[in-house]
Amino acid sequence: MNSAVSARTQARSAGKKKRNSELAREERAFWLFISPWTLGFLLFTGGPIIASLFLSFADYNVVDAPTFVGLRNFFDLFHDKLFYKSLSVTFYYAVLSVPFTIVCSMILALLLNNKIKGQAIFRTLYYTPSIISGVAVSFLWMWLLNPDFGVVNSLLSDWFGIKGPGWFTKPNTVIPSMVLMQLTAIGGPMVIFLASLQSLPSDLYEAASIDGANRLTKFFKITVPLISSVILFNAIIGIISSFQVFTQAYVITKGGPDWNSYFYVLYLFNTAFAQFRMGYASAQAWILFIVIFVLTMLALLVSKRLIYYEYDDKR
Amino acid sequence: MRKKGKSLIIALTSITAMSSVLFGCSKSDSETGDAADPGKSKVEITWLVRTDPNMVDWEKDMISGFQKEHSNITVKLEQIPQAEIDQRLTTMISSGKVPDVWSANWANSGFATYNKMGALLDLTPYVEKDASALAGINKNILDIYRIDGKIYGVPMLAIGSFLFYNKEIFDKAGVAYPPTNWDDTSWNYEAMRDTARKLSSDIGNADKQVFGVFNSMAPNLQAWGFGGDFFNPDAYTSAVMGEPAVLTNAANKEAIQFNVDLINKDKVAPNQTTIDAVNAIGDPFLTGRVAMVINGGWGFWSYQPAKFKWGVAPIPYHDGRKVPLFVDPWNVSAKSKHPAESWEFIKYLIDPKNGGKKFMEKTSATPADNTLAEQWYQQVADKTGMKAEDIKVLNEGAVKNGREADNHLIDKFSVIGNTINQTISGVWNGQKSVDDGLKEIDTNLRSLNLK
Repeated sequence: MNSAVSARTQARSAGKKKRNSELAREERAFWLFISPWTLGFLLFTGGPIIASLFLSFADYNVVDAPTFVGLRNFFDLFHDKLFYKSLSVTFYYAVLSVPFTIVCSMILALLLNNKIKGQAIFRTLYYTPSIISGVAVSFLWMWLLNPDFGVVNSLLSDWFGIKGPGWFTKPNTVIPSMVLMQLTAIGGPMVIFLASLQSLPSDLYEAASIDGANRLTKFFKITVPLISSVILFNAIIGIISSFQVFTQAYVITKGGPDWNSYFYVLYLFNTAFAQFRMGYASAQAWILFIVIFVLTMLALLVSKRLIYYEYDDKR
Repeated sequence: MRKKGKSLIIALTSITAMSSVLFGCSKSDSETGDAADPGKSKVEITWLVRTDPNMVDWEKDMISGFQKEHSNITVKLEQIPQAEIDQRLTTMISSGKVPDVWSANWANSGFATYNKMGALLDLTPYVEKDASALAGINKNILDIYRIDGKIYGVPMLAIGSFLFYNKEIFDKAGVAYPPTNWDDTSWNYEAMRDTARKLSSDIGNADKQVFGVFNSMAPNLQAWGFGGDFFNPDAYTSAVMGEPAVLTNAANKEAIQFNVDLINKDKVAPNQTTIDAVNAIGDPFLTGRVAMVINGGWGFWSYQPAKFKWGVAPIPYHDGRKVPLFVDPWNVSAKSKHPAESWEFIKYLIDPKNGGKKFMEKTSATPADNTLAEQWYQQVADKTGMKAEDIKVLNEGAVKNGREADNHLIDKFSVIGNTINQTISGVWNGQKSVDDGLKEIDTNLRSLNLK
């Protein structure tokens, strides 16, 4: 994007005609490069999405034809205790998980941003866990956080003489345990942070050094504002992925103990594939879409004043 | 630009969000469309099984043998992991590309759910036409999948429930083994509790503790053992859960209270957290962490790798005691295009001289066909070092005191079961009183609205 935009700023000084042809060429290139994704989306995803919109106003049990029920699915949903329970579980998780993920991935990115030998190796090492399948990672954490035989609790009792918590098996610790699991998933945001850190202009830091700023001041007064848009991006992605937690709950806790990890998407999955209520599940999916959409909008609105974009068009 | 770029990001992220929600973890199906042979009477049927490396030989053997006998029929094998069968069947059924022969109990949902959905074919005409092929199947077992007078499934196996015990722990504690006769009323729950007390050791030390007893049955099945039931009798015949009987049947409280006392008062049984922890390192019975376990009859073969000698006993006696039977049927899809050929294949699979016999030899699963019973007693006896005579007594008692498991007879039971389990773990852990737990289960079951 950036090069395209800067190309455009340069183009501004040139004649209008040339600019138009530049633009047209850019646009063509854009559509060309995006086409595999667009086609795939239209063929395999777009259709089902539209179908699910229609199904959300219907009763559909897979065998019989769907029957139209108007808004009943949505009314039922708003009287459904589990709907609120699963939403609150998911919100609770998001509130803990998004800041945790951003702070951890930012710290890692800052560490990896130092020019040391073998930086590339470390970068790879820290990124690797993010590409492992969710089921495998879930099993790994089940082992680590096993209350009686897990590595974590063994170390706690051997080194500090503390009896470790029950982690996934206790109602009050299950969500924090799930948040802790994010430690194996921070590779993605970390790489994005790292990319933005490496593109920061050094002259600002040099100027700050001359003014006698220490490292912390530099970080909070220069780095954070400069990469604020990236923080926002990671926060939005984090919110979205928090609302899509499924694998770990499905594999590790089945939504327990006592519904305390009954994430929204797990509920949706059970509605669809254990109860075979496809219409109701479609309604749940659309409500989820609206929730995510609203949260994303909120994040953008709140951040409007706080975010610095380097290349604002001053039209 | 700024506006544009941002809205594009929102659009993209929200679309990605949507699509991954709707299609969670969709596996790419490499559907190799039906290669319909031009030959006129050539027919292809699909056989869906659970992915199980141990069973592949038997499956291949069945297909090749059957195709030799019926040159016009090709059987296509489709293997799907059990956890994914529900999901995949949904798409198959809605698109009309159903498997012809399969077992509804091999999905997490079970027979009742699929039958209620109308996904299973009424096999009555075939069963009547070929009565001799099913002559060996115990009538009570055959009737399990007879719904409103129509047969929707042909039993391939019928597994009872038992108490398995670790003989070495008994010997070490100098305690006498429990009996083998189900009618022996001296082997009741109190006797089991006393025995468990003598067998427990090092409780509280996670690395060394041995619990006297562990009832691995779901809460409703534990209630059956005391003559209780979380559901009304109608639920099992109509497949509709309806009004739960969690609070109306007094024996339910007795059963749940008994297990809570074993865990928290006598401290001779593991709570939910301990069991979750132990399960991660292996089966609690096989790893010697529990001296007695109440479990389905698959213990007969799943406990064979044990490094110690073990025995089998009846589930303790109580007035009104009922124990679960686990009967798996072969089913044909209602939308199958080749029901007659599918039926031929099922007959081949259950043939006590061939398919059924080989299935039993392969799995050790208790056969539904009586003609194979004697061979099964001997087979299990050889593998476990028990007496064939004892196994016969044990198994006949389990069938006599047994009734078909709830999850096969009540529609949407995986949801019902999950609803019960969510609350019960807090009851086992002592965070909730038995009364509160049962009340909560009752409320939550009612809010499922399964009428």
